[in-house]
Amino acid sequence: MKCEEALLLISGHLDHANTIEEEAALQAHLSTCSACRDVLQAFEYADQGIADLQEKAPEDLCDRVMEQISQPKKKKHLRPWLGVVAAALLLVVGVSATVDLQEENIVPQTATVSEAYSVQRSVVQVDADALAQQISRERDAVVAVVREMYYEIETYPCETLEEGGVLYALPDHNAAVLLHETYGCAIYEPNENSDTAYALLVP
Amino acid sequence: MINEKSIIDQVLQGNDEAFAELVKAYEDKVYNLCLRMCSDREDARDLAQEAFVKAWRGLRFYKQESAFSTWLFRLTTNVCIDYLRQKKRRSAVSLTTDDELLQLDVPDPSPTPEEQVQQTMARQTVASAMEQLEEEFRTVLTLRVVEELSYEEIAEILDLKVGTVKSRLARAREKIKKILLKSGNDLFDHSVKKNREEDAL
Ligand SMILES: [Zn+2]
Repeated sequence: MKCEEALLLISGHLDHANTIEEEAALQAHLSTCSACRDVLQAFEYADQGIADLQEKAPEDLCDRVMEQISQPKKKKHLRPWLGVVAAALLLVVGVSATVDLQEENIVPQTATVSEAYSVQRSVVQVDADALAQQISRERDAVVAVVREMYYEIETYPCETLEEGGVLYALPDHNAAVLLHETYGCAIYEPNENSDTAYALLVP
Repeated sequence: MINEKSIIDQVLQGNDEAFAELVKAYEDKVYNLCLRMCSDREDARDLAQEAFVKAWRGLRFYKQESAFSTWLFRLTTNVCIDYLRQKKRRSAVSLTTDDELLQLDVPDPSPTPEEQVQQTMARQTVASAMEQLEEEFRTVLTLRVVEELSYEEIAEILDLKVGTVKSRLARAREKIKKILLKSGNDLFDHSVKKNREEDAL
């Protein structure tokens, strides 16, 4: 066995992840190679040093968490730049339902399809309808569930969500309704007056 | 061991207070994951708090197909990685200064002042070595050595193949070994030397 191969097995040995055959081959190599014995010793030392760095969580961590989640749910406001976009878009609503928004100052963030889906892959489970309902409630906004990227939403500012999915800020309520009418997307709305609108892209 | 499933059900039924039990059960693990990822106690506390609040909000998306711990660590890892990327974006060319390094406490209360200084230095060296490690290597090493997760769990958390986890851990260990040697870690040299002496006997 070459020392390079042994390296992988030394690491596996520390994690108890080697097969019986691998372990036997490693021990045979170690018995004849002092350099690899040093590596094993050094890895053990480093692992121990890292493990020893552990600390107790701050005493107030739990209280802080509980305090934050017990606060009455505030209506979430859009980030400032989203507000600017929404305001800018409200002015042009009615002129065209598929406004082209390429100006840099009002479209600070866009995602390509592949970016959007690479975000998706890092999420364990997404229940799109439950998530859409939650966003709709929390942000007092109409939310359309979109399962593929449509050119209509591509250029709108977006944010990636921790829970999974990419949320596109639509110009208005009508844009969401239009997605529903054109593509049959499900839409969730807290009330008919809400003019904040999103498209939630999920795979 | 707390009955996780029943607590999760209680939280989902609107009993927010029950969530405190989940926080208590995982706060050390979540905090240490954040601490190793961002190397700053205050940031780690904030990130751990953010992770738990996100877990509470997103609990209905936890499908109980994977272990709750895996789901929580995945969420926490994503919170940390997002934070690190934002930080990187904010300060594209900012180097860590000495006073930004962790001042580590010594857990053992009995050693002499001299030993204490040595121990503190050794801990700081290891913490700083972890900080110098690239994010992808620091992440696997933390999940394995600090959180003691299996290759399978780490693979699920990081969306990697089990074989990739295995090879990345070996590379991570090789890298941190080099960093520690370069930093002239006395204990590290000592341990290798001691090994050689034992071999010679
Ligand atoms: Zn060798």
